[in-house]
This record gives sequence, C-alpha cells and structure tokens, in this order.
Amino acid sequence: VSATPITSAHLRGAAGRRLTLVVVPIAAVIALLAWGLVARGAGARPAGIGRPAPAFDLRSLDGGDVRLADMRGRVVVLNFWASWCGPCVAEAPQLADAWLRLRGARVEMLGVVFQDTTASAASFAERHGMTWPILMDPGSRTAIDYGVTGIPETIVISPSGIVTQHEVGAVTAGQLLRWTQNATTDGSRG
Amino acid sequence: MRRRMVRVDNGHVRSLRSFAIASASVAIVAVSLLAGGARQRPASLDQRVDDVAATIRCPACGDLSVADSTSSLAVEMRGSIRDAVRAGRTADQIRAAFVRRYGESILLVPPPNGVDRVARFAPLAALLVGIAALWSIIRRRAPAIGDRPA
Repeated sequence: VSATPITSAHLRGAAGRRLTLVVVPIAAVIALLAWGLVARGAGARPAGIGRPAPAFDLRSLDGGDVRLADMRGRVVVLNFWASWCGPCVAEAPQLADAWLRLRGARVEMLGVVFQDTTASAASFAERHGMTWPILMDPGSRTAIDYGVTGIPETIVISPSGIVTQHEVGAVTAGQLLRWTQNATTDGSRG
Repeated sequence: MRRRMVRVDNGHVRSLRSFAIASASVAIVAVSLLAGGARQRPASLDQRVDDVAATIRCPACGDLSVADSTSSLAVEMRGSIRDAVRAGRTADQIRAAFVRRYGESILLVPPPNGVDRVARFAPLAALLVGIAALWSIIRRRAPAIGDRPA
C-alpha cells in the first residue's frame, strides 16, 4: 500500500481550512453588528424630514391667529423656545440677525413658545429683540406634532410645505441662511 | 349514654348529591359568565390612554414610558394620546402617528428589523457552525478502523 507522504503544503492547507472555519463566522458576526449599528445611526435622523409639515393654527402674542396653511409658497422657519431655556438666550441674537437678513425674502420666521407662560415669553421676546411672530402652543400639541424633544429646536419648511430641516439645539444665523436657501431650491424643484 | 343511630335513606342521599352537583355547576357557570363579562367590558378612556402611553417612550427621559414619566413633555404627550383616543383612533394608529413624528425609537419595543431577526438566530447559527467544525476535526483526527496497524 503506497501512502501519500504528508507534506508541509498539506499541513498548511488543513490549517488554512480550520482558520477559515473560525475566521469566517466571526467576521460575519462583526459585519452584521457593524451593519446594525450603521442602520440604527441612519435612523437617528429626525423622522419628520421629507414629510409634509403638520398643520397648525396658533395664537400669537399680539393676539392674531397664525396658520401654516396661509404660508404656502414661502419658506417657514419654526423655532421652538422658552424663556427658561439657557441655550435659547444664546440663540436669540443669531435668530434676530437671520431675521434681519431674511425678512422680505419670502421667508417667514415664527417662534413657538414651549411650555412657558405668555407673560414670561412676552418679556423674553421684548428683552431679546424678537420682532418676528411669537406663537403660544397650548398643551405642546404643535411641538409634539413636529417631534420636538426639547428646546431649542428649529424646523425649516419648504414653500411646498415639506419639512427640509430639523435641528436639535441652538442654531446660527449662517445655518438659517443656508437652510432657507436650500428649502427654496427644494421648493422650486417640487 | 344512648347512641343515636340514624337510618339514612339511599334515595335521600342521592337527591342531596344531585342537588350539590347542580348547585356547583350553576356556581361555576355564573362565575365564568361574570368573569367573561368583566373581560369584555370596554376599557375606560383612562385605561386606553394608559395602555398606549405605556408603549411610548418619553423622548426626554431615557427609557421611561410616557405613562411612567412625570416630565412635563410626558404629561403633554399623554394629553395628546388622550385627544387621539377621544377622536376614535386605535392604539395602532396613535403609535403610528408617534412613529411618523419621532421615528421608531419612540416605541419602547420597536418592531424588529432585518438585522434584529438575523441577530436573533446568530448564536444558534454560530453553535451549529462550531459543532460542525468540531465534528470535522474529530473525524479527521480519529484514524479509520481499517487504517489501524495490526
């Protein structure tokens, strides 16, 4: 009986197969977990972006009714804030700067008061030169409709009524100028 | 002391037994009907609100549900759920509306996606692969009976 001699090539082949049996499942599990993490990360984007903006009809501090439906054809910036919110104090001058540059450019900026009293909101708005319409949101229904989790949060709506931006945290005037410009472009496409 | 012997009539015993069985049957049926009635009674508005709120995560308070959290946002969200229940929306419709606004992370138990389903079976698959690898190694190492030296 002739026996085939076991060469080092045979040994390398057996070891390689064994290594493959161990490495491939481990690599597959790691790849799966990485994919899961990436997929979850992508889901962290605010859910409302790309969807029609929820309708609202809110009373402003000066007593008028403000309806989103009346603003079709213009970019709308919704800024949720409160007088008790620290970052809102820092954000107010940025909003005022953006409003100076945007008003008259078919852009509406609206402040939506989040869980605050009318008196405190009015006092804060006057102190920080917030000359754009400030709306009260009883029961936070509009905030909940827009998926607001805290303040400040800012939402940009295109002229065709689609949410194009949802920013959690304070924004700058530069960001607002860019986002409103993008929303105008999106709106002209739609 | 005189012991009293009571003569028991067999027919009397039988009728007593029948009466006891009939009473027990009636009692069981009555209890079942009452329990069934209690189950079928429509849940109150508060109960329906709580049932939905218990499945919605409070977005400002970690892993607490809107039903369990005392934060002001959770209170407002319970109010929003109450409005929706009053408007006749079902629990699933209300949850779907919250998912549209906040994404699937707003649900305390999000529906499993493809990765979750695969990950659930990954340990079993790994075990099977391990057993197969072990079996292959053992088979290769054990010399065949015919190969043993005489």
